[in-house]
Amino acid sequence: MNILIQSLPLLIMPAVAAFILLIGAMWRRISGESLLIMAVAGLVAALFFGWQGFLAGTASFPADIIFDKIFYLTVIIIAIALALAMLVSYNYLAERKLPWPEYLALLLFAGFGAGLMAAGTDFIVLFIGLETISIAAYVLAGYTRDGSSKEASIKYFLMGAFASAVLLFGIAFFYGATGSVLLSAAPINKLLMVLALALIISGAAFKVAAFPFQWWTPDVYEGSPLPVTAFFATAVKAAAFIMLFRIVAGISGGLGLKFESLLIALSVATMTFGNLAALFQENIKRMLAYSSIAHAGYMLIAFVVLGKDANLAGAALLFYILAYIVMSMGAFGVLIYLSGGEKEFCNMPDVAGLGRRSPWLAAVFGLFLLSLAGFPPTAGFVAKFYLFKSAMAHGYVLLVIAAVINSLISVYYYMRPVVAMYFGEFQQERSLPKIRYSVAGVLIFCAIFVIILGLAPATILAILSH
Amino acid sequence: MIFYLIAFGIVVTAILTIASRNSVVSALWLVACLFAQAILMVTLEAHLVAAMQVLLYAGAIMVLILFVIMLLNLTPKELKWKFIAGERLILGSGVIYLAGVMGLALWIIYKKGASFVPAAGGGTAGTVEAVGKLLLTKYALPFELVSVTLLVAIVGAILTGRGK
Repeated sequence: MNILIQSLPLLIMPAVAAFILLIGAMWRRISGESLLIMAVAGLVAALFFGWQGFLAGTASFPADIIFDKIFYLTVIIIAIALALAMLVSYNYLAERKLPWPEYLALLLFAGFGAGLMAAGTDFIVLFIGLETISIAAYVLAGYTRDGSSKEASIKYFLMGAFASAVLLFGIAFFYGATGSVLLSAAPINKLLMVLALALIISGAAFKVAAFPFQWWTPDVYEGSPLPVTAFFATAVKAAAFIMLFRIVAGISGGLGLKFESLLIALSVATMTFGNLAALFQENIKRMLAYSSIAHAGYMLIAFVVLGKDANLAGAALLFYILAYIVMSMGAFGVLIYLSGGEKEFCNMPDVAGLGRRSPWLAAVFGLFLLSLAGFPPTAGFVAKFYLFKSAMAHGYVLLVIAAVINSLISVYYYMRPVVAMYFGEFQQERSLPKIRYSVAGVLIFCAIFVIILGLAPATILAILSH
Repeated sequence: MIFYLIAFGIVVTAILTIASRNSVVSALWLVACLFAQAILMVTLEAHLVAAMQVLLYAGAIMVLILFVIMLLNLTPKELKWKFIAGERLILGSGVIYLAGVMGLALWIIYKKGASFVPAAGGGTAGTVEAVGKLLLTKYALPFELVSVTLLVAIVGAILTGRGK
């Protein structure tokens, strides 16, 4: 009974998803709004039970799953990200007359997968969670069924299947090295373990889009429908990082020194590539895709620190993920707000002159971009500061210097849309769409959250530091 | 020794699968590859998995693949070698990846480290009873969780297969 209550935040999501699928199939005339409200209510319930579970403390299911604080925090973060992604897509789907039940159900199932990735203590559960979220993501990438969307879906599917194979190969070697699939299993064969971990890290690096495995990201992010891209950049990325965190923190005896330098190299290469490639992008959606690669590089710093101080690294990583979710969801939300019924408007000229046409929208977009670049007093600044400080505390000075230089580079491309908005001229006459209340609500929420995280991070940090 | 023979067979048939221009020939080589894998599994005493491999992959799924090829009416002409953007980059990274994995593996063999943990239960670990027992006791939870993954896959398949 107790176990059932403890696992409620995880179980609610697929239950609501199945309910929405059923009701959507049986009662065809049910409106998208009511389904959306149901799905968001389910996520709010998951959030509530997640918080209750967080207060109650750790419970472990026989061997395969553990419900600890990290799990509950992940569920809360993922529930927030999914709810925002759903609300932000309301107009987008309604104007294109896309089906609602499958969309919401896939997002909720993805949330379940993300929960498993945070809860698993053996590779089988982690892999099942990863596949659940991945399959949902492949389908969602092709949701609008136009050319670029289909292309994104196929690309993501093929590359993702390849990465899953690499990961599985690594897991097989892990089993060979330890005789068990439990993360905490002690290696009998140390050498084989090195091979296993190398393959596992490669597979996971693909999922978080770290340097040598990031080629799919820009194409997939650009081709997918905008709200789905927002979902990829927030919930999917967060889940992948939490899984990597589980693996790296759970491996018995840690990764060892060899892997520390590997992670440092991965981190620096990832952020440098992301920032340099983003510099000259004309499409803001593609630019945000490269920026998400760069942010993945920053987040990898937490894994370098992980070997020295797991609590500090965990708190810094979770805070960064939370901050990244709100600011990136906000930035994508502005693009969704601008996009018309048929076409997405994501190019630099499309936002030109926005500062005069629609000052409020321009202001929040500017806020999110400043936060992504890491200006104080926003969430992005505090997240970076906290992460860099934790790396500094353990003596990774060069790594921090590289990261700071990268942040400086990133300012250039984050400022380009801002300059276009306030100093650019109208390219073409295009009337702004009428007020989109759900997107506007998400934007307001994200903006307030970005500022609160920037001005008063202490409370959230205290919660995350448990 | 037997292992190396089978492994060589798998690699060769896999290469032939992707190198052949005629898609039906490709599919037949894939059958050969899957059979070779099944033989490998038998030598590893995973009898149930080997049987599944033959029944499901070499049997049912191959029939589906052949159906798709016939329905699409693919002639060898249409499947010309196409150059994609950044091909050298992709080839290069593929080679680097392969070299990395093979290098690590060979290094480990060289260091005489490749002594795998012996399978528990001797020669009976791969029988239907043993696998079934494991699935419903030790791995009961992942076994149940897979159902959600399958449900997602079904929803996705229906969604992508449905016309506009």
